[in-house]
Amino acid sequence: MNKNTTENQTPILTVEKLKKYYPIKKGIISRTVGQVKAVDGLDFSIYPGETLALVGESGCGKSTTGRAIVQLDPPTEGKVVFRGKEMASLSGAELRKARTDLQIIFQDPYSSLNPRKRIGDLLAEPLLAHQLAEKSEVSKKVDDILEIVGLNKYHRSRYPHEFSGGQRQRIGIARALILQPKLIVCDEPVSALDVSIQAQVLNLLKDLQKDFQLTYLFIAHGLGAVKYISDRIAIMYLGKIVELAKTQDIFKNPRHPYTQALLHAYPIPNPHLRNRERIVMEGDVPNPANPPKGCGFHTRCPLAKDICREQIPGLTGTNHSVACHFPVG
Amino acid sequence: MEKNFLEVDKLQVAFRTDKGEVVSVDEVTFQLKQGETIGIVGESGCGKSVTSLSVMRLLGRTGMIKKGSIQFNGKDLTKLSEAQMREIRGNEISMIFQEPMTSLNPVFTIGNQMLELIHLHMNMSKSEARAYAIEMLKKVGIPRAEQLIDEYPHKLSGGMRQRVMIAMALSCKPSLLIADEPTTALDVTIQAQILELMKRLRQESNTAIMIISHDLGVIAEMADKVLVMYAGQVVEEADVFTLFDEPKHPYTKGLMESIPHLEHDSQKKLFSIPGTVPNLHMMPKGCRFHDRCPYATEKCVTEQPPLLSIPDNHNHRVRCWLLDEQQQQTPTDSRSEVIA
Amino acid sequence: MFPYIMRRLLIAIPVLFGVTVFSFFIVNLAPGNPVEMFISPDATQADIELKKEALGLNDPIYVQYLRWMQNLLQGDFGYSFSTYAPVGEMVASRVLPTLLLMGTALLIAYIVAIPIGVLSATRQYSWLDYLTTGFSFMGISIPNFFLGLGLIYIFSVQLNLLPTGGMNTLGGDGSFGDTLKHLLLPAFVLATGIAGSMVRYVRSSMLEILGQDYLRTARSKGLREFLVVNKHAFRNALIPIITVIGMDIPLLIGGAVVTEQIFQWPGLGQLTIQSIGSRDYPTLMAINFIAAITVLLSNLLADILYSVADPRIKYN
Repeated sequence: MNKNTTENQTPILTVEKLKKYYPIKKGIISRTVGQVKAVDGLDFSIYPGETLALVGESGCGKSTTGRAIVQLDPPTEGKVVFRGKEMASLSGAELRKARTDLQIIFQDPYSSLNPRKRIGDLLAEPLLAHQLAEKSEVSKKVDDILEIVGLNKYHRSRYPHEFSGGQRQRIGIARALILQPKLIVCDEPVSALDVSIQAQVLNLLKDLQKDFQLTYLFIAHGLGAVKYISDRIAIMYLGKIVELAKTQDIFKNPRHPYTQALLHAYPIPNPHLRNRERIVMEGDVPNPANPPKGCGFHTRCPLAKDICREQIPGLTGTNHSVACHFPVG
Repeated sequence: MEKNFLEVDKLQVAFRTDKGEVVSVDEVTFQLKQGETIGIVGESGCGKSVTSLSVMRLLGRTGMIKKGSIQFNGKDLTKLSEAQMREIRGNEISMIFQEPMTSLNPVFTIGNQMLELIHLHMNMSKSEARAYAIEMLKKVGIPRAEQLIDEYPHKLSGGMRQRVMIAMALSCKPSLLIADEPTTALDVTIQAQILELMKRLRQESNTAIMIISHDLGVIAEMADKVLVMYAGQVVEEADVFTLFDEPKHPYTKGLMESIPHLEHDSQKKLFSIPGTVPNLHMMPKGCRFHDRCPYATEKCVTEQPPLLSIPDNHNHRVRCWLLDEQQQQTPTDSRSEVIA
Repeated sequence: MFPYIMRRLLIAIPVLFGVTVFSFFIVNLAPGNPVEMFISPDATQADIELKKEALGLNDPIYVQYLRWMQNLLQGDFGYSFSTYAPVGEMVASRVLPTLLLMGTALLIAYIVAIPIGVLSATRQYSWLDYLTTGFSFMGISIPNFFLGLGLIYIFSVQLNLLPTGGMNTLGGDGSFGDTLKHLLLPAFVLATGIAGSMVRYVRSSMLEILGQDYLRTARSKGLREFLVVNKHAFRNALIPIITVIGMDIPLLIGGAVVTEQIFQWPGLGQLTIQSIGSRDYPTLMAINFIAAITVLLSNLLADILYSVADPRIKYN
């Protein structure tokens, strides 16, 4: 894996001031009375060959970000620049090309595959749709990709329900991979899988990254898998990035109180540590339709002071950035 | 030493399906003392939920206990009538479930659902019951309990709903609380809150807990002793410290190695158990883990290993032929071999 | 809630307007005209023209429509072309019998169908389930005219127990018992079809609920199965059922054209057939108009009931 990914390189994907708002409608004529700020001004870059993880609890906007980047759910505001081109400005052939280079894998392998299609057809479909292969080559390409993701060519005539969860996720990966993308958005790809299967899929993703020079945006709600697969981690809370740093730094030297609490919340599979001192955060995540004034985290933050209730802290710092008035350490 | 108040002995549970009867839980044996917490860990389909539902005798129309007994406070639950069982459910044994979002009835208020239980098992007047329900809600950390009791479940977050479920489950002061993946559907920070709450309430009430989870972290946090289940059987049983310090069964070891823990060297490949959990309709002969086990021998393929105590610790039981051989030959630490 | 109802009512106005325009033109498209229908065969062409002129039938259709609308806005439905009676009164006299007939039919249907549907769902794939499924499909598929004529033949002609038609015995005392006797057969015929589809609906709606997690919670509390099914499950299954009931309400007014005709029931359905036969435009339009209002209001009512039954739904 690239160790110095963040320096002296052109990013493959840059996100600037990305916002995704959903209107709240009310009244006799359905006028818009407010907005759910699902994603509220994100800035980050991903460099070729690295894995950037977006981590946060449900409702923090991580999946919305992923969907906005691949233009499944186009952003309300802000830019998504992929390989030097702004996605929103692309059209026709350029957009189609960008779409093949930028793929997404979903959390639920059960519902993201059409149950009435054979695996072979499911995998051939994107190739034919994007006219990336001659009719005669398609079948070979499908066989190859099945082999690459750890299935075999005899699986091509089967239907999705004949596979286990882990195998279906392999099919999801194959479908993204067959277009030879440059960047894959992995939206919680292992959350629905059993522990022993999670490890299989994570290993596969890591091997594929090496073999095909892939870049990942890895979206997850837990830190376990992320620790293993990512080079850098962005921690999200209420639609904003609160901390962004190299993986080791996030784990060894978390600076945002939320990141700290998140690390503390993780149950450790070692009973000798069960009575350790730890921070247990009180309360729930605030409603994104009605976020608190100032820093979004102040309602649960043990360190909150007056300024936190008034002013929104910006994300500062170059290598280890944190959005907090009183960062730790 | 305290007496066991729950003794499950050689439990076998089967379900009727279109393809005939399938045994989903086989030869499950364990004991539980007052105030003790037992953790049942395993992957989906290993029979951990079915085991807990059989203690409640809530196996639905297709499920039935075929063999074995469940002794609970001197009664064999498998022999009780449905009416006698209803006296026990929610009263002496209660249960919380994985999905707090769907475990409460959406069309009745929190109070309505709590009072229904209180009136069923406790002799209280209407106003007493309401006051008691509010007290229970406060105990589990529900803010503004006096107002929230009249709200519908959809007004609460997942964490809050799981608190309501816990309040309800503990209302009748049960001697056993079954928690089936109580935090799996929740966010990590909320999971930590709920686990803390369960620990606190356990201390206050001395309720025994049977906690079911696929997450070894949750088990390590909560359990006094652990059952590891695989394909419907217990493959290893030990107190929590022994299990995590010296796991013996290749499956237990594999499971522990597959978790990317925080100290994991990200350059090293994550250990993974090859293959998938066998289908209930096609259980392998011999040891059920043999087709995924790196050490499988001829004997493992043909003969089913029994669950036996290891010589130096009779409370540590393992279902593996390997152990048998190790005992005969020189015992080696096989931990490093598993990783290789 | 209130703004929601207001919005729905406001939206209903253009819809209602559209319905009147549409039906006015459709009604006029039918071949033949009222004058030819009721004037005696030996009337001269001049007589016919005179009559048409008097009724305003020679004006362009849009002029006729605007005239009709103008009267309607003043609460006047006009006069029947065939009986010359005020349409308003004519229709009003027919509403009550139809309400009585359809109300009884719906009541019978629901009282029978809902418990059967619940039972059928809780015993899915049992002989009872197969039996009710068989009967409900029979109820849905038997044409009302066939069942009606069959019942008249058996109970009126052969057994001589019940009257063949009408609402009261001619020259009878007009007592409630007498009306009831007349009501029995047509109400039963109508109820079979409604009950048949209702059983299917309740069954599928219950089946969906019976797998829900909160029923397992209810059982784990030690609740009796009877309460688990009839309180916890049924209350939820009721939510989609309410929609179906809401859609049945217009039947109360629209009546059952065929059944009323067979049993000579003096309701709106029969009036509809008569006015179609005589191309009685004002009467037809009035019936259409009332039907449209009923449909719109009952849809609104169903949505309101929906939010009452399901606390998760709040309109604003």
